[in-house]
Amino acid sequence: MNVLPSIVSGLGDGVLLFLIASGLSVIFGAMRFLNFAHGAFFAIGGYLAFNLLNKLELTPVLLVAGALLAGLAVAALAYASELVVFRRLYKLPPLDSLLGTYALLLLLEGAILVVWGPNPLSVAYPKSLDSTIDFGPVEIPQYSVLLIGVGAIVVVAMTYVLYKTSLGLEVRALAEDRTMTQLLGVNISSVSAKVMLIGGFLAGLGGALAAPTIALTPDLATSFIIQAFAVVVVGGLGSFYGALIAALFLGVTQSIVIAFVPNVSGIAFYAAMFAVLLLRPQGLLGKSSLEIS
Amino acid sequence: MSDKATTPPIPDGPSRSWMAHLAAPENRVLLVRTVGIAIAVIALLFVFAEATAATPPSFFFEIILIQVLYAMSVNVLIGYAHLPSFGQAAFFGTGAYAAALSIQGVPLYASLMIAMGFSGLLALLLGLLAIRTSGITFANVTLAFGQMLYLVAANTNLVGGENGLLATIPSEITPQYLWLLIVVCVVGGCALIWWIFKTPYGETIVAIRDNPERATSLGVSNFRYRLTIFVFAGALAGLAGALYAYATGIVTADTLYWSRSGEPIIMCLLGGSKKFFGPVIGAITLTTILQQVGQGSTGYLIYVGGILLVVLILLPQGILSIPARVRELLKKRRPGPSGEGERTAAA
Repeated sequence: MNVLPSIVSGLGDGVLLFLIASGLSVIFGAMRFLNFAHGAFFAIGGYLAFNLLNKLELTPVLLVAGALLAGLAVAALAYASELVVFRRLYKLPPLDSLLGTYALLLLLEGAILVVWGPNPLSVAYPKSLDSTIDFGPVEIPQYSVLLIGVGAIVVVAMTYVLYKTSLGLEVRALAEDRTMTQLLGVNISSVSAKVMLIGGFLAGLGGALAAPTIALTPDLATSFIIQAFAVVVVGGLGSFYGALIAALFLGVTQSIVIAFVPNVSGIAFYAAMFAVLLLRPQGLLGKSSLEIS
Repeated sequence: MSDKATTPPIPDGPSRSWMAHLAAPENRVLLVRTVGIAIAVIALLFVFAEATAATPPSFFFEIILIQVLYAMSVNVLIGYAHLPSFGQAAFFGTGAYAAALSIQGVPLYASLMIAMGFSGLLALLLGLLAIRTSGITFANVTLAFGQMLYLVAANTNLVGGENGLLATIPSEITPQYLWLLIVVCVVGGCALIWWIFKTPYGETIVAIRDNPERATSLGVSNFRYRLTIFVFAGALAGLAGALYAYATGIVTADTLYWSRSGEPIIMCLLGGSKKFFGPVIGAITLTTILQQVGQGSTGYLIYVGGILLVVLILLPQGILSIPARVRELLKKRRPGPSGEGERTAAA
């Protein structure tokens, strides 16, 4: 069996995980705050894509445009959550703030059930992207190629934001030394709101792009967030590039294992996580100093 | 009411092993007292059960008691040891499965022992990895472990996959006897927790929680203490899971699902994880609410989410902190002693 198609589709899955986990990780770096509700942002992105796209004759351009719109809508939701809920949680001890976001996740999942109902919904693949590219003996799924392209653009854009803008400088400074950054007069609540906007946008975009590959069910929110957390931890809390490497690594590992042993899908993912953490408890690119808060 | 807010002194110094702590002569009086109180509570619950009905008490009371034990076992970790485990369902579910699989072949007590043994062993395995991390990473490692176990159970035909197993208890075990078993196990488990945190071993756990660096510098092996308390909490969760299997008669993969890890944490927070009886109050409150709205429904999500958020923001120390809060408010209103308000609040 040729593993190349598995690697490509694994990279595609990895990009989806990266879109949630990168936002989570950047927010953690700036705010020392891990957000369960991010999974609901992802799911709502998927459902919004369904509403925007299910009546249309889908082309790749339309899909990406719809995904961007869904991302913007979810960014607005994330911003509202920041103002109403998260701001009150930053002061709490880490476990309590984590539970607070868990509460928001449950509430948003309830809202999804009310708005979209319990039955699975699906978004079709764009007509021109529903098959595979033929490379002689190897066939590559086209949609994965689109996902990898989007992932590359996001990496470039986020690198620009993190290293060329004042917001990026503030975020990196907060991750490096929180107290000193505050003493230098950085307005934390403005940084956190902006970071939350970006993270929400990426999660919504990811959800919308994932919509054709999965069935949309209300428990999507919870099933994806655990994997995203695993990515954040394996990559190293607060590390953007760690999240990228971990997402691709775990996505590809899972995809290759499924190709050989189909019914251990999720198990392989977590087994790989434990293997990494056994060797590096602080994650691939993590600093152990971030943990103490 | 043991409030562990203050740092107890590091007991006796590091020269004595944690096993010796448990067996020390000065702890025997305490042990006798704890057992005495436990027997009294069990007797009271029995009188209550006899008084409420001639038939064995309802299924609902059994579930409440089991949830109390489960929440208490989780509070050992999040309240006393500051090990924020999000994966205790792994041990609860393992206990339930072990009990369901073994009850056909071995006597009831052996089946309970097997359930606790398996859960404890699993906790030891996870602990060896997870205790190396802390805080948020610890929460995520335990969460991922629980979820992995859920996937294993849901995909293994040997344990019935998604549909699960029947846990048929032998017919010679009457419902009345099962109720007695649950009461004894739950009260006994709570008494055991109470006793442990009165011994030097338990006080060392709390000392490590309050100041890990100081404990290390005094020669205490934080890793060993944390690992043993993690195994203890896992075995107790397994006991709760086994009782749950006997009471409901069925074990599904849902007993391992991560929302089952979240529920006892919510109970602890709701009641107040800093108080010994906090999880008891939380478990009774939340189980009663869940009984009304139904597991897994829209109402479940909105009620549980809403209650948790309100408690976290408005009452972060839980229901049991209400008397103190009221006292504080009254003091602010009018300076001087305020006996009247205190009495109504404490009632």
